[in-house]
Amino acid sequence: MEESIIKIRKLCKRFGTQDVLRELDLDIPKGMITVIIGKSGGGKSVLLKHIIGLIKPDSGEIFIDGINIVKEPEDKLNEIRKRFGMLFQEGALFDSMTIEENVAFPLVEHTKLSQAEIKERTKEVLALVGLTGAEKKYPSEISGGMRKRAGLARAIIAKPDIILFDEPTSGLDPIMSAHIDNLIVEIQKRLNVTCIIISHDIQSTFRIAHKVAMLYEGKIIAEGTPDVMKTLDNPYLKQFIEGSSQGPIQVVDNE
Amino acid sequence: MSKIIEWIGKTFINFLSEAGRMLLLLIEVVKEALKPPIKLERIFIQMEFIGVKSLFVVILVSTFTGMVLALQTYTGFRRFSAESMVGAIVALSLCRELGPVLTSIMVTARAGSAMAAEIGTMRVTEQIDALTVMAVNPVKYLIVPRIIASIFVIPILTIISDYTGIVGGYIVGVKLLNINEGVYINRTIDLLEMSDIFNGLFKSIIFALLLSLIGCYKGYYTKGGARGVGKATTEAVVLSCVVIFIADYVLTSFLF
Repeated sequence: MEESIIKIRKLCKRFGTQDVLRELDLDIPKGMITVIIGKSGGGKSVLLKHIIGLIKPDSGEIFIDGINIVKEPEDKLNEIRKRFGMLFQEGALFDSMTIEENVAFPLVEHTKLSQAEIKERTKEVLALVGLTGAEKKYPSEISGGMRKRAGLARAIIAKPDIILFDEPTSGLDPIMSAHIDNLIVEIQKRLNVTCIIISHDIQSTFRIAHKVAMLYEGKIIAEGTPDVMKTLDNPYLKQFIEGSSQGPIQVVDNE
Repeated sequence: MSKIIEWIGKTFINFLSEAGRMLLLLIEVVKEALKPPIKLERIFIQMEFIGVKSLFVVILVSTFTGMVLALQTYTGFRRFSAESMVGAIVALSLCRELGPVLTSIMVTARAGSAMAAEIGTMRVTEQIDALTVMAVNPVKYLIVPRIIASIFVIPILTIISDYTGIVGGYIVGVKLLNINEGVYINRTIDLLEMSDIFNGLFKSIIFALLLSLIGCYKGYYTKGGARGVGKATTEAVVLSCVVIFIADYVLTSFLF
């Protein structure tokens, strides 16, 4: 197996009376696209937020290049976070800033680059995601797809090693979804970064993933390459891939 | 009966835990405020919003307060021929009490509510998470500038409020009610001491800290979408007003 950049061991998290993650183990291979699939409200976002230290686990360990981030203090954690980029589900752009200011934000905050250099970099990444011309617009003035692309531009501008995607294609039309998928693949290749995507979009998952992992009831119940995943004889996985309402996964939540 | 005791206990525990969390937030604010780099630009932006943009409403409210104060004291004091004291009473009430309190209440309504709503919206739309992810401390970025700006700007607004209130009182007392101008002004200057003004300003600094901390706190811990933002905003305004009045009494009884 390839080299892992992130190793998650026995991760547990409970909210109130609900166990969201139960001794979850997962390895994320370096320089590849890993897609974590699972039903809505099944703890995928929670897992992603653990990886970047937004949520502290009840127990368990998360190693990023060998460093256990669960035990790191906040200022050390911030140094590690600078290696990450994250695309939020709704983009999470700052609505008081223009697209240009939003995208430039990580550089303005953390680098000593001159204004001209920042402008140049911003222009470059906006061109990469196909948003040239929208620099002066505010997030409320553009469409959901454009907001996601702007969020993506902001996630990659500081040249991170790892990019996290929280449902990058949800709420988009099929053509825009395919476009975002292509962007992710292109960016991954061009910057040679590790991508972790959480998704319940099966079509998109098999289009872009190098590795797929399925989260169910707080654990990874199946993982492997997309081709392997298709052949696995796991009833939960099969039901999810086929998108059937009949099977072991109950549609009604008992939350 | 046991239900009532349970309710009292629960309310009391909630109150304590909320006060505790607010204090922890304040400690973090102080820590982050002292940690470099300090970006003045963000403080100036907040000063403009909290201070400059509240100026008009503060002037309006305090002018009319000064005017009605002159009118009311005149009606009362005329009964024992003490009209000459109207100016002094107006100035003392404004500087010691009404200037700081009215200014803080107006700023709460305008800026305290906006702090809760803006930070709350940022919380529910994951913008605060986005800050954290980009290794920017949200307390330092969002809360510190608002609290520092409030502490600087609200005393200045209070001075303006004291002044315009006194002018309002003068217009009513001297121009409308025909109290002798010389007596009116002399009495005011004789009886008003510098300590009255400074104690009022000290109160306004405490109010500024309280209202900005509460506004930011309520916004920062917002939960549950648009409804949560609405709730946070309402709670911020109500709690700030109540706390300002309580703090006003406590400070007055200790200071003066």
